Amino acid sequence: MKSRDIKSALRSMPAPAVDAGHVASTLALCRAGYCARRPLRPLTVRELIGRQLRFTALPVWLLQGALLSVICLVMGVSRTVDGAALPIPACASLSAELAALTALPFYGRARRYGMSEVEAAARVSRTRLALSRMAAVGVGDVVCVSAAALLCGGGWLDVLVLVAVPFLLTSAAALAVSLLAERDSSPFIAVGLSAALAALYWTLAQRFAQGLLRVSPSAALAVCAAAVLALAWEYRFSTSEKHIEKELGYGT
Amino acid sequence: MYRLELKRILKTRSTVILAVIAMFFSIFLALLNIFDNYYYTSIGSGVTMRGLAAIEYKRTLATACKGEWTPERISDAFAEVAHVREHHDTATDAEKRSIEPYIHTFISRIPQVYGVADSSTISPEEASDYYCQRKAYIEEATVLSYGPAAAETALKLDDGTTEPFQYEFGFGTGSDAASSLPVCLFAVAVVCSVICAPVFASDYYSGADDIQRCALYGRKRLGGTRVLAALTLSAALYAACAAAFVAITLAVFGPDGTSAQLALDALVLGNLTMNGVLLLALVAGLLSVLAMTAFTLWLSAHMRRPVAVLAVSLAVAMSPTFLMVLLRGMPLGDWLRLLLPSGGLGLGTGMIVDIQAGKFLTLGPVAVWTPFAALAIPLLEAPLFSLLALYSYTRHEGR
Amino acid sequence: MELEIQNLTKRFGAQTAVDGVSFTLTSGVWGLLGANGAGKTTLMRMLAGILTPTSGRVLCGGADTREMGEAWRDILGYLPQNFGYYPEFTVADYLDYMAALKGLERRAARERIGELCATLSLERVYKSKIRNLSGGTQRRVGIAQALLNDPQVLILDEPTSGLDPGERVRFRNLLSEFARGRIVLISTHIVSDVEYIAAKSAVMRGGRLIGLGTTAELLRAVEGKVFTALVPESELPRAEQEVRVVSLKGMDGAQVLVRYVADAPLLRGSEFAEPRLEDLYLWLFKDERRHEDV
Repeated sequence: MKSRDIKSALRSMPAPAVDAGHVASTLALCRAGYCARRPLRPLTVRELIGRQLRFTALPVWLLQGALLSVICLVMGVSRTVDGAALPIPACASLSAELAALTALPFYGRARRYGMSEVEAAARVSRTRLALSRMAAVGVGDVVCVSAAALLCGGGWLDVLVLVAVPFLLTSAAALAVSLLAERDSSPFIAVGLSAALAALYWTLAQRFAQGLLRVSPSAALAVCAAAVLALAWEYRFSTSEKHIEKELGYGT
Repeated sequence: MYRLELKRILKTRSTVILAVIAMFFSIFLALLNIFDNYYYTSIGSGVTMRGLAAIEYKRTLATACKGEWTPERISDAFAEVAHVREHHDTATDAEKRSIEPYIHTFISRIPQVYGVADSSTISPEEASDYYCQRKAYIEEATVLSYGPAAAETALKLDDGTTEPFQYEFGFGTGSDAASSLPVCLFAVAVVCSVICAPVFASDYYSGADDIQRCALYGRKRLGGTRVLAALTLSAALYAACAAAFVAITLAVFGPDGTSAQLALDALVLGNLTMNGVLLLALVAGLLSVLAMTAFTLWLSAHMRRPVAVLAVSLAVAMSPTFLMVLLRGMPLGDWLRLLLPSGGLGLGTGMIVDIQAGKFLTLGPVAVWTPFAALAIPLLEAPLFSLLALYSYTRHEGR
Repeated sequence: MELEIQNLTKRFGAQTAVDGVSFTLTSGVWGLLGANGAGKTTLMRMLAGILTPTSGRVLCGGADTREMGEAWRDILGYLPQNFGYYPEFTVADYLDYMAALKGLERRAARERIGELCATLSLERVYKSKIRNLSGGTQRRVGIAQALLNDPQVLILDEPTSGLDPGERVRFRNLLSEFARGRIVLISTHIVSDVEYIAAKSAVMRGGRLIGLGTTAELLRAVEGKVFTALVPESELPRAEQEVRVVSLKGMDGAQVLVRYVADAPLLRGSEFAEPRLEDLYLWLFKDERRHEDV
């Protein structure tokens, strides 16, 4: 029977009279049920990020602080008479990559130390937790990358090619390795790969600074955009069901 | 047991992946030197060449400079360059091309010893005095930076230098191999350290060490075997990656018998050609890799967490680069850098830079040329840290 | 309060870990029994919202827990089988961290942590690093985090493993008290825990539910199937081959008191014995045990 026919048949049937008593008792039951629920305390974004600072962001910030001190020292030296002879653009690239690596010990930490399950069952969802951690750690990343950009000097293209691209590429590569490689070996593979990237970028940065390597702004922007998309996909994947199942040892 | 331990490390997935990364990177860097080789001339309508075309053109250009550079030949070259420059507006393309070999090859090295930036300020007569002027330059530069004792040592070292200098086209004069080889070796050294970081620490962390330690050969022998296996693996990986880089580079550019003083810097002391510099760089690199590996093994035997070992090892590997920048020109910088296990390798530092820069480590009246230190210190550190690693491992107590 | 599990299934590729499990949990302590690989942990993870069921649903007071989202996890407490912690954490740090993840306001969290530490005897180790604590104390820390948000539903996977007998008794008493008006589900291999405190139990095997009810109801399956017999020591190996042994106890005169489960008395001089949950466990999972023995 078509739904149209069902509807017209129902419409033609006499509707029973509404019993006010029934309605009232239903409402009372609903109200009682609703009031018996435990009220959910709202969690603001500020609170979420703030409470991640101590446990997640602070250790990363300590590492980044050490890196920042070195960057500032290098910046100080670069302003002296001898500074012109130093490979400052290459140092800026190296600093950007090291800034990306400071978060590496904390990728996949929950998996390594068996905290995944307990965190997954807590009130704050994995997605919100991952985002709040990213925001907390990201504050330090922004400061370090800005310092590296100041160290680099030059125009926006220089900053894009020498600082933004190595930072984003290293972050994307390190996070990809930590998600896809085995739990115990992922930090090592990520560091090895990042070391190779750092060495490569040192060479490329020097060639770029000497004008021997030309990079078009659109190519640099495309690489940055691809790295950002890769990072977004990786964060999404890290909170996905498939990844959780893998972390818990299913399907291996 | 040694074979089993080697097999165990090689079977680890991360070892294989890291070795592949190191090899791939070495090959990539060697190819980058070839395909990013660049030549530009403004003669005629202006020509830009890249890759193999640039290499071949440079090879052709260099034939005019090949051979011994006697004082007379240097003087004649300067005269020719000066003449063309003086009549630049009226000079023909053929005349400009005739001096191209000199300008694009080594003539830029000559003004350094005269304390000027531009070769055009040097007369042909002055240029013929290059070899004497160079000695004076070495003495002056060394006295200024390190004192008279170092200057005396420098001149004694330079006594063995064969003059006149030789020039030919090769990897040293035709490519950036001299600056990219240290980068390649540095990356390999870091990868070797990363591979060795979990050798002891991962067993402490997982608790497997408690079981192994109770076995008959579970302490000294196992510890010694692990150290030996890790060093073997690092040496093998280094040899493979360095061989790949050098093989590709030599296959395209060929060996280079050019005197290092012409290819690198006038401050290079001793009778060194670029082939010799390459060999020294490879030997120093190997020693540094072994020292870094041994140091990482010691950290691994001492610390409980592999990630912590990794962090410290990486910091030590990166330190020479930052020390080179922060303490540039200061003896303390060189001391600290060379005392580190990674002192012979680094981004922007290393054996080739040490040979090029004419640096010394001074302690009172004693002055040691830094390349010697870059060879000797890791040679001492490698067995020292290996023994320390073994000692730490046998003395380790679980919690 | 009711937690209704409707036809819950979880497949990983070709493997079915949980197969069409349905039952309703009411207030009180519930036991979940089963051999290794029976699907208990997977079931618990689905209840806790960590894994998404392939099919089926879980209703809490008539509402689908997946749709409830944070509201469900707010009333849930969960302790996994493998209790993990970040190595630098002290007990205080760990509980603070979990309180933040559970959305507890700071002052309320501090008060609650204080109460739980007193109840679970964690005051002396409050500032100690968790990695330096004994296994039993670490378990108590895990239990504390599960209770932080005063959950209405408490799911505990092997909660008493690593606890000494005294701690296990204290923990059982705590759970019994806590379970008034709340749902507590514990999975365990220590059947005495379930015997003493669980009002009802569910038994799983091969991902399916094979038994559900009070201890007495479940024990009906092995009524008349539990026997004891005195066997000379020399005949013991043969006896062990013939029957499913529950326990062996050395007696005077070179004899052993054998307790076993079988359809009928198989050893000479057998007498009927009062069945216990351990007997039921061995009776239900005798095939798995045989495999392990081989």
